[in-house]
Amino acid sequence: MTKKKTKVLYQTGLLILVAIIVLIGMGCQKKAPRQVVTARFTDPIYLEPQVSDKCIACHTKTHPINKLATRVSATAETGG
Amino acid sequence: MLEKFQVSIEFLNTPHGKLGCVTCHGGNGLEDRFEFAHNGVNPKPSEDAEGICGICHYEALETYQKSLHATVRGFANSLIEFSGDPNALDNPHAGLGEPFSLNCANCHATCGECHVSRPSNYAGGLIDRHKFFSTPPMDQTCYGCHGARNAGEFMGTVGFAHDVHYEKGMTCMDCHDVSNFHGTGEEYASMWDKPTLPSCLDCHEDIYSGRSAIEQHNVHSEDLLACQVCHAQANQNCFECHVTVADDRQSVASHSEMRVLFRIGLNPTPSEQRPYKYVALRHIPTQATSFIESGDNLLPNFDQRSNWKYSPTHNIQRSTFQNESCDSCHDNSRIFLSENDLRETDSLASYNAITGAPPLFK
Repeated sequence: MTKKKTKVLYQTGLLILVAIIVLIGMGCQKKAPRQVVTARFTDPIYLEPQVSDKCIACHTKTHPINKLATRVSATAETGG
Repeated sequence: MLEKFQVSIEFLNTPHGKLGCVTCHGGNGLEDRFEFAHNGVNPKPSEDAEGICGICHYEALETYQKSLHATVRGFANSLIEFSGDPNALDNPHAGLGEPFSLNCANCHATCGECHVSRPSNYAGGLIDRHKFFSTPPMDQTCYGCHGARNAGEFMGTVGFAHDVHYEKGMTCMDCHDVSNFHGTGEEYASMWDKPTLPSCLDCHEDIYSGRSAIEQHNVHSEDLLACQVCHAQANQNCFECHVTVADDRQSVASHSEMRVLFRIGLNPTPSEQRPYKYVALRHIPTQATSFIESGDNLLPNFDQRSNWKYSPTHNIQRSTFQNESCDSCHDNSRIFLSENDLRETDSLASYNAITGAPPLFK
């Protein structure tokens, strides 16, 4: 076998080997999970909680506020 | 009244609860006095479609804004078709625009009216002390708006027996895809245009295969019968609706006669999705003079639309009186729409749904 023929055979073999490795690699590659868009949010956004102590006290009845539902007096309206 | 707005301690430890009341509802969370504490409070923060819910749930919001639950275009387009005028609803103080703005337009659902509260035109108030429901409980939400017909028939509060699927523990959401509620992002003219409406074939795949274990399925083709023809029971039908406008013209009320009955007729609106020749029918109550208190001759196209419509009746049973035997249906003229069923107030197009009972071939 001539040197040239040996070189061609070597290159062909190498090419086949690379192709096999690539094919095996593609076959084994883990499929990316399908992105499922649901009604739920996928990118939560931080919201600053607002102080709601008095609302909670009344609406949970853990600590009913005595003045609930009383009319505001005229002096209270003006801060007097 | 306060009972409707009681909040559970458990809710406060959920992601929504940790935001605090004021974050969504406004008001003053440090104020003892009722009026000052509630100053600026918004009891329905989700009413603004681009408001607080959309900050996180923007994916649902994107499609929801164009959904029929949000736009109520189904109602609007129906009235527009009757009137023949695309601008018929533009003036909220005159013509069809008056009853539409005072009544139909209020029927839209907000995020909160399904996921945390009952719809306000039902009982209103929180479903379960401010618990958020990812999948709303149908008896508190869907039923609130659809209870007079499909949801009521499904649960057995209207008509006769409830639906066999309800009996097996299924809910609206087991058949209806979330896009039926939140929309797909497309604007549809009516619910019939939705591409994702449920089909019995989604589960009962072999019905029209020709190899069904039930012989009756093999001899009735898909383009001949809607499933409800054989498997639905009597449904709710409304007749001769009259809309009354209050003296101050700030509210309307409607009155119609209701009857539970079962009629089969010719499909008034065959389509690619619903090609059936025979369908179960339901009578819609509109008459030419339904809105006469808001103006004369508001429905000039009235006679072009049938009062008897295709009904996807939701009270399915495997065995019904009409599928008991061949001659329970064939030759049984009592269950097929006839001229005797039509009223003087029905549209001329309603005659197109009339059919005689098909003869029994032996």
